[in-house]
Amino acid sequence: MIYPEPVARLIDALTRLPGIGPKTAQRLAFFILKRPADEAQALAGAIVAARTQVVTCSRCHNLTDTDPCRLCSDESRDRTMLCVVQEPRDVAAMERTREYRGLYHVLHGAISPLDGVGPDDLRVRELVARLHDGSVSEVILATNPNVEGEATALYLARLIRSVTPAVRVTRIARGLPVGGDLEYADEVTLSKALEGRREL
Amino acid sequence: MRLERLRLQAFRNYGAVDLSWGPAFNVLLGPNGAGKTNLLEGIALLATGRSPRAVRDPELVQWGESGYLVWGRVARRAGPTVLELRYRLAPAEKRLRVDGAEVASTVAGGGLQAVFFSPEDLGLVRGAPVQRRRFADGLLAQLSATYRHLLLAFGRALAQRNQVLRELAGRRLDAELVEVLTAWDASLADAAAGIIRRRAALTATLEARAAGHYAGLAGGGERLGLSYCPAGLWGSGAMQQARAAPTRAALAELAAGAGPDAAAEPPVLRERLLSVLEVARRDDIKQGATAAGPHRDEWRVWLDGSDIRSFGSRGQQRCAALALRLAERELLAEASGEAPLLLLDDVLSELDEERRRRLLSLAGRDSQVFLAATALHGQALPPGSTVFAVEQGRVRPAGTEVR
Repeated sequence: MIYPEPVARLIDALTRLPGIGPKTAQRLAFFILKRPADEAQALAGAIVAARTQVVTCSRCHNLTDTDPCRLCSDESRDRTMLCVVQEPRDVAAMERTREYRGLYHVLHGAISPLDGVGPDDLRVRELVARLHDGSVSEVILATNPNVEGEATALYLARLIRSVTPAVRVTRIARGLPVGGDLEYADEVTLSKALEGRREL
Repeated sequence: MRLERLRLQAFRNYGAVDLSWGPAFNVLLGPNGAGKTNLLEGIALLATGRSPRAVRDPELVQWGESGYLVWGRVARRAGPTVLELRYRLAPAEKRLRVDGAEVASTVAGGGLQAVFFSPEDLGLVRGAPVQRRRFADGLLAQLSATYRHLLLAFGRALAQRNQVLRELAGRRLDAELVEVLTAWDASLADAAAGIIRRRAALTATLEARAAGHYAGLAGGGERLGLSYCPAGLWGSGAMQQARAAPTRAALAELAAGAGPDAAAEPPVLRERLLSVLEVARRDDIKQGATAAGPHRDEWRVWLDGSDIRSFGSRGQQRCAALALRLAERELLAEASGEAPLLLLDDVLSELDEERRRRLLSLAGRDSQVFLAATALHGQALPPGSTVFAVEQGRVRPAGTEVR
């Protein structure tokens, strides 16, 4: 390697990050080297702190620095509603709506046999356990609207109905983006929206 | 619609070409292996996103290069459009841009439509079922983005289901895994119902059009027929694929509950597929593959009620294949309101003079035509034809035919 060992190691470490190729890694490494030493120190500190202080919440399995997380311990939230999502970032997206006031459950993925991901690799058992005490009356399945997300939702719906039949299971709707014009919607979204039409 | 300009870079045997086309009849003349078909393939790729020769992208890249570019300027009634398809080998990436804006090349179309006629089209009639499925899928995919989406979803669900089947082969009593399989059954049936309904609807229109063209080409009294046989839906045993053609009424019954344009898939068909999958489950696990579904569908082509595959002459089979392509052209033209490009790859040499004349007059109606041939066989070209000489990956305008 033409770079000094520490630099080569930094580039190598950066290359392991998602979406970062060798060229970007080099650019990032040299940017870091050019900046004052305390900036590098702060970056390293932030990475280590995030990695050591962030855990998954023992109830909803979202990422948190306190256990249970702020959402789970917030007394004002509606404890009868549970929204099931694939990833922590989906919780953030739902929270941005400021409309949903219930609790969450993060699966950390979707069922995908080709990737070796089955229900045991997701927080499915934990989800079922949360339903047993009877406090939850509705589960909203908000997995992604793609093939894996749909299959995961179908799997969970059957499972929840068989284990806790009293719990209502719903699936978020698919449809048109708000504020857009009908003529610009793609055909697939439009036909899904038509499928999910309701009476006025 | 007209393709005004085409640029190819590192595509097949072309390092770099930039061509301006004539508005009506373009003739590519050159010896075998010169690259005539590659030009037509480039145009077809721009229209459909995939090679009409069913070749994978890496094979389209010129030897030693890292990716290809196909660029075209299209004049449509609505105005000009620039299409740019870029493929990179490693890491593999394919991008389609329409007027500079990126669109998903697998789901969204770019507004160019083309029909590719090749000598291998004989396989549409004589060949394996996969060739008829590819034809129907290619046509439906050009007609509907929803169909493209359904095909992708079906392919993905099928691969996932087959993976579960293989995992189940070792341990049959894994209740949890059986539940996972059930979830994939439902996903698969959803996509499959949509595909089957659209294939059935297509078959009816395609048959009517192809029969008309067959009569025009063959000039005889025989009637061309086409029937769709969805695999597994009418089998007696679960593993037995129904190769016998179902009656039209049986198909219509399955597709009931949804008009041709309704968005919801017919519930009867979906339920039928689910029960077929459930009955076939044990055999599927043994095979590690899904036996029933649109990936095994078949079409039969008839001539006056007898199967053309076994009883038709080669000439009749060739005419039937041409008739199917001409029907494709007609359906595309009706859907977009503009005549699609016609890419005729070496099809003249296979026909007698009378059929050649009929094909050219049928084909030439309002379409921009690209005709590749080693020789013209004395065939008179329509006035205003533009001739190109193709040799060793080079293309040179050879003048305008005024005859």
